[in-house]
Amino acid sequence: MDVEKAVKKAVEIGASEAEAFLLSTAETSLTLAGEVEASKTVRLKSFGIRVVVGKSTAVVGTQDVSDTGIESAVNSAVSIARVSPPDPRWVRMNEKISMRDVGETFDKTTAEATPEDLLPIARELLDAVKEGCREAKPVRGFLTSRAVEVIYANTYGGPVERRETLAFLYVDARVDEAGEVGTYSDYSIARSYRKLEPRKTGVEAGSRAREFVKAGAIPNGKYGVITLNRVSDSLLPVMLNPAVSALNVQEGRSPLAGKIGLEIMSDRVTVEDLGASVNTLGSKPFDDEGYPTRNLTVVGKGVLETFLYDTYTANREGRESTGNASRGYSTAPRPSPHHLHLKPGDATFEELLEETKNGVLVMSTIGEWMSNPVSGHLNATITHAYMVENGELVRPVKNGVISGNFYEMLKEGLDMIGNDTRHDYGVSAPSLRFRNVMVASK
Amino acid sequence: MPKEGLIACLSFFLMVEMLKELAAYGLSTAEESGATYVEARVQRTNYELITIDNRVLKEFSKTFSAGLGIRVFYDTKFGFSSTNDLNRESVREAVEKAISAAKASRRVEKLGEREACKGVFKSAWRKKPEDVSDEAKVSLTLEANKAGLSLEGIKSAVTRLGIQRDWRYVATSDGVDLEYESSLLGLAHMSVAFEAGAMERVSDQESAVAGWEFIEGKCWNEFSTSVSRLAKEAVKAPLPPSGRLKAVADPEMVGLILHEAFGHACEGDLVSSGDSILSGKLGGEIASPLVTIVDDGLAEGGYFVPFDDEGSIKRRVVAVEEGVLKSFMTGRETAGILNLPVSGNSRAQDFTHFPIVRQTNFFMMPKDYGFEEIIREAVEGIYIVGRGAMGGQVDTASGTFTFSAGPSRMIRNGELAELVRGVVISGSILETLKGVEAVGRDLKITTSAFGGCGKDNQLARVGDGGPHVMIRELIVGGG
Repeated sequence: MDVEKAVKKAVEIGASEAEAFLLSTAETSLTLAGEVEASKTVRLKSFGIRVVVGKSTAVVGTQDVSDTGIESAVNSAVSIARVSPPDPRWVRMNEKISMRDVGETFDKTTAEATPEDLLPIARELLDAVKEGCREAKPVRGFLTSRAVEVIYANTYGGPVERRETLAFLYVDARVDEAGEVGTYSDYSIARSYRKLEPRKTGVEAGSRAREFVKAGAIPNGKYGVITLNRVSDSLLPVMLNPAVSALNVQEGRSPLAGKIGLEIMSDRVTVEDLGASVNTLGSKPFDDEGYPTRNLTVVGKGVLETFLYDTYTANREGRESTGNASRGYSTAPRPSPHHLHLKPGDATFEELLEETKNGVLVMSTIGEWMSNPVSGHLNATITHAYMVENGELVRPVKNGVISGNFYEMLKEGLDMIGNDTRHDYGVSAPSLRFRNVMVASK
Repeated sequence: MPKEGLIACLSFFLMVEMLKELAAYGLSTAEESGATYVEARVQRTNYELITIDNRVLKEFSKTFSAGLGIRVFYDTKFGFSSTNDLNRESVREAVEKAISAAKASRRVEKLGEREACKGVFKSAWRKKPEDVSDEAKVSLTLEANKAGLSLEGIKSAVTRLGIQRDWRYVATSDGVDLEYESSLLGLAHMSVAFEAGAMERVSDQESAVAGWEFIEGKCWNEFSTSVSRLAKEAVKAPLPPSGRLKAVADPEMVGLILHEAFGHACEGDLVSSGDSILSGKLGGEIASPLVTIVDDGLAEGGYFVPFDDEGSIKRRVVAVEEGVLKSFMTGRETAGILNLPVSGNSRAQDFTHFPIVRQTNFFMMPKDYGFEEIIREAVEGIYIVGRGAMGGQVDTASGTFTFSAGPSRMIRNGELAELVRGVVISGSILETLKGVEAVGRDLKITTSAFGGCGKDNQLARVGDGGPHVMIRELIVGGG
């Protein structure tokens, strides 16, 4: 049963509105240790139906995509909605179904890659670790190529269809020297597995791992802190994704509520959500309720310009969706950014360093996802960093917790913005330098 | 049983028979294609989630998933593929893909031996959650949400009810024929308190491997109200001082620390690849002599893992005995490499993943201290509390770990003092375990119907816990 028939069926049995979402994924991946440890190829189809009866909604997802499986999901959704209490704020599903041109997001070779196709890249990655440092061992890694297809229809239109491919590699290198251990990991991400950078990634992981054999402690205190572009990429979504969601704003869980038009960051900071850009990982022709995507300025020169809306949250305020609905196959849509982009500044990475008298260059963190986007309090545990003195990297360090209010860091605390943007899936940002950041350590 | 329940039961039974038949077909097809060993896993999982957001039912979702995963040992290499197109042709295609995947994998010298067992396991439940009406489930969750919002200063509250039923079947070419069915459910609540321009959130959940009787046996309005009370207190609380502090951890925090700081490093695959700081340390004194740590698939309060996804019966692993590193958790491949017994820890998130070494219920064994005695002996420091904690993460190779605690209390003059919030702890694995100075006599193990542990892009349900424990020093990140 296709998505249109499922929508029709739902309406036939009593739904006032319905939407169907068919997600197909194909993935090939290699797990790496010192060599290719295991490989797999997976094909998966998942179907979701959301129905409305009056103002009551329900979602049922199934991975039994046979006609009977889908029919039973539709029946189940309608019967749940019938007995569910209404949502007084429900207006209607998205009525504007169309697509935006975001360029090519699909690479056929990547979609059809077999484990053997990926082998040469895996080997190049593993060899490059040794090239970075002869004593380095690649201890953990993976290489994945994935294709995702979404077909969407609702009572008001469709079907619309989008597909994208994604390739990803990651390696964790380790060097043992006189009883001490040094590690480092790096990754590369692209639409096509042929565009990955196995050699650069492996060499970086291997050579850094050796440097970190001698990593010491960071003295407890306040420092000028530089977050390497990839660290900026990991911090930004943790704090901003939930905070700019109109749902969290409306439900009283965002520290940005009531701050539209106010300066929430330094006037040098501009953050966009690139929903409809060419060559941007995360951009797509339509969102997860068929609404056309767009590029939005979320924070313009420090001023909060908009929150991100799906149809439900937009209807609550009597405005248009921003095309930011995001969902899994068995969940209701919620607003979420497609690709947060913090615009680069003028400073080269070297200039960020040069201007640092006594600071910490943070290369890698863990646990940043445990920060508190409701209070705006950021925490990240440093696994790899360098102490910087008078513009020079003086020694590698590890183990310390960066902590502070994210918005204060990006306002009074922001010192310099680099021009070295790193593009990841769903986010891109340059290296940033902050003043007076608390680093808790020994 | 209502009529709908009966039909659901019948269709479940038919589905199970069909899936088993496809597994058998997968086994024979793979053997005919030249695989020397084959594992066919089939799974059927139902998950229900009710989300109430500020007194409104925001989401009622039901998810049904079913499919087959097939792993072949071909020319001494493993390959895996899966499908949820439940017909013979797709299974045949999956077998071909698994063999093609095997060609890209490394050679495996030796697989750990294990007995090929047959059996059926079922977790205990008295009242099937499927037999409870959707209205009753919504109403209970809604009432808990309203109760949480009834306190002044609580600005926002989300309550979720999660119900999982998991049926798994493993058949292998060497005779394994094992199946289990388990029921897991729980309720989670988050409250956001607002005061004088500041906001703080506290979330908590309670889950159990049980039937609906677990939900009926507890007052969830009181549960959500207590979360709100804590959020109200926390919003006024200061951040803790930054630096090194003596710490007393409650059972939930001990579980979190152990799971992150130590459990991952005891996973055989990380040990054998050198990605664990414990590689090469077997037999060594790696913790204080007060410390004994086990992994048990059937621990009370924890998750239910009678056998793993390679079809090995889960054996209790004593990882640390009185401070000495005794063993690692293994699957067949890592047991072969490490020359250890197969412990039955090779688990897959679902049928779309191959099994990797995972913890089941990982916890510290109790000793002799009473709670007040531990606080008294700590004198000055911090009592870190699991309620409201966000979780943790570890870099196993370097041994650095981090976790967030819920609202916690400072310890002053041997007594609990003021509440602090935003507590983030970090430390290094071996220093932390060597620094255990006292172990309580209580024991609590918990699991969750809302999350799990992520590794290599796979999520697994786990349990963890322990007694109250005093640790010489941890790094505390605060204001």
